[in-house]
Amino acid sequence: MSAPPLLDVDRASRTFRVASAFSATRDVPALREVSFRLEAGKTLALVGESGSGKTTCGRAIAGLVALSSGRILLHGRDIAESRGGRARRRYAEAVQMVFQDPFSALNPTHTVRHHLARPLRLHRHRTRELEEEIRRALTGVELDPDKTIGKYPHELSGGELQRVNLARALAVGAELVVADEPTSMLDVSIRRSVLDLMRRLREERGIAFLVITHDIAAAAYLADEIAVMFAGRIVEQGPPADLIGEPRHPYTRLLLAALPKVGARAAERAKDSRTFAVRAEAIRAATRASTAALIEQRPGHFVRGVDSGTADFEN
Amino acid sequence: MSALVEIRDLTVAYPTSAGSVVAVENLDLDIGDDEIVGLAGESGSGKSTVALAMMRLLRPPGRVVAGRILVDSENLLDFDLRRLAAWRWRTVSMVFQSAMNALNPVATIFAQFHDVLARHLGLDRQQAKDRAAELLALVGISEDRLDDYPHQLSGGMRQRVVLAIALALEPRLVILDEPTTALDVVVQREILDQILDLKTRLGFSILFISHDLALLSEFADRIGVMLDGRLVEIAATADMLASPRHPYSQKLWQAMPRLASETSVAGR
Repeated sequence: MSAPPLLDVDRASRTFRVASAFSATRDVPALREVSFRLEAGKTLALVGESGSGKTTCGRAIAGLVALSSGRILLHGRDIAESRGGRARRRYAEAVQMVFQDPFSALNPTHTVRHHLARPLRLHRHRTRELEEEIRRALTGVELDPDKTIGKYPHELSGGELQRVNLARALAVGAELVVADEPTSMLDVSIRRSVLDLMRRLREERGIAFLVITHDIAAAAYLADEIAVMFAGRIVEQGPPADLIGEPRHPYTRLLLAALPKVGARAAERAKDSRTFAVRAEAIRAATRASTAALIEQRPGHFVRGVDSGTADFEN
Repeated sequence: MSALVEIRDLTVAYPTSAGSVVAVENLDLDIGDDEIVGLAGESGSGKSTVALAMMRLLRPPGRVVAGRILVDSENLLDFDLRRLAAWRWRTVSMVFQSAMNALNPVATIFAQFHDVLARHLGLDRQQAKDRAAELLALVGISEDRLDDYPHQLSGGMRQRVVLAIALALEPRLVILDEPTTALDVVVQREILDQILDLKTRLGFSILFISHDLALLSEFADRIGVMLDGRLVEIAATADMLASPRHPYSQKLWQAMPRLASETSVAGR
């Protein structure tokens, strides 16, 4: 038998119980039987709208949310069993998270040095070469250590802060980085450079990335594989070229149809604005209702069935 | 005939202990009747400051240190506070960035409409209710939502409510500052198509501020690009697409990853 994959998510489900003072307690399924694998040095992008379950999935993998059922395996070991002591620490080293808002992810009263020294001290026990390791970590994310090491978060731009966050994740030896909307709060002109850095880290160091984003174009730019999520389920999954070139699921087609297209004149389609909204809602409703299985329609390209007759978009 | 909005030589500065920070410098900008002008640039480029100056909502110590903002040939920088209170919202209204959080969380949707309608038009409760229902219908929300609180609506619906309030007095110009940044693409498309639809029916001009050039290229008649407080380039959308002149405009185009089918446009 070959070695188990770096990450194996096996029918992961999570239901949140929503208690309200004014109405009955409800169960909200945020994640429903989600399965996928991720190998070292690969990037998988989870794409979907707010409430699709993509963030819950990322947080479950980072160990921040427990599953209701299903398993998440890292190197073949169930992460639910790595509680306490060494197993827990090894897991925390291997899986790191980078959050959407780089400004609130770092403590404003401490310098970059502190932010990198702390995880290094916690996870590595040598402190002699600490300064050297910090400088190496900064260089690795294309920051100049002389200029950045003594700075406070407010003295850095969003792009630089996100690099510090990546450096912090990698400094402890992360094998998998879960990045939740890593570029959506950054200025446009630097987003690309942060995506490029992630690509380079993947290629040069074999880091695996799970990228959570609503931006399907960024996902296509970065990922080896895209999984489109809706209502807690993966509805379509495949390599970007297949998924975007020949989207099979109506919800994927809806996402693509909604993207702004350079130079397409909105005024010419405004007449049917109601039609777009009506079709969008019909597709959402049909996708939510469908319990059909995910089927491999082409090698590596999985699509969940929907009822025939569902509204659809041409691509 | 002069344009609806004529901004001339506008300079906005924030005095600080370390000297004055110029947020907008010598800006000239016209917005015609029924025109959509897009303003692109990144945070700190001054695009939101332009919008705030146009609403006379600059926060002290920020102030206009030079220039004029003419709307319908009147310089609104000369208005006293009473005049301003009557003018604001009736002539120019604004949908703020992350407008979904712009609603008062402890007031019903109706109370927020009532605020505007009673103050500006002197409508009584029943009249305001009828008008609010009409405005909600305009943005595709059923009137039985009037008694709901903001948290009972989705982000997209809240954004529509804010839009309906911005249109309540049938203004001549609506300023949209990143109106859909916090929403996902499907909802973004629904709302923007709706704005365009309303514009066709009601007739108003739009200043559309966004960092997303692709989005602006779908909606704007002209696009301006701001960098460090200056308007470095402004051109008809087709020209801005075909041949952006300023190096920074070109850089903005390249900055956003696009789908492969579009790289011929973006991969300049």
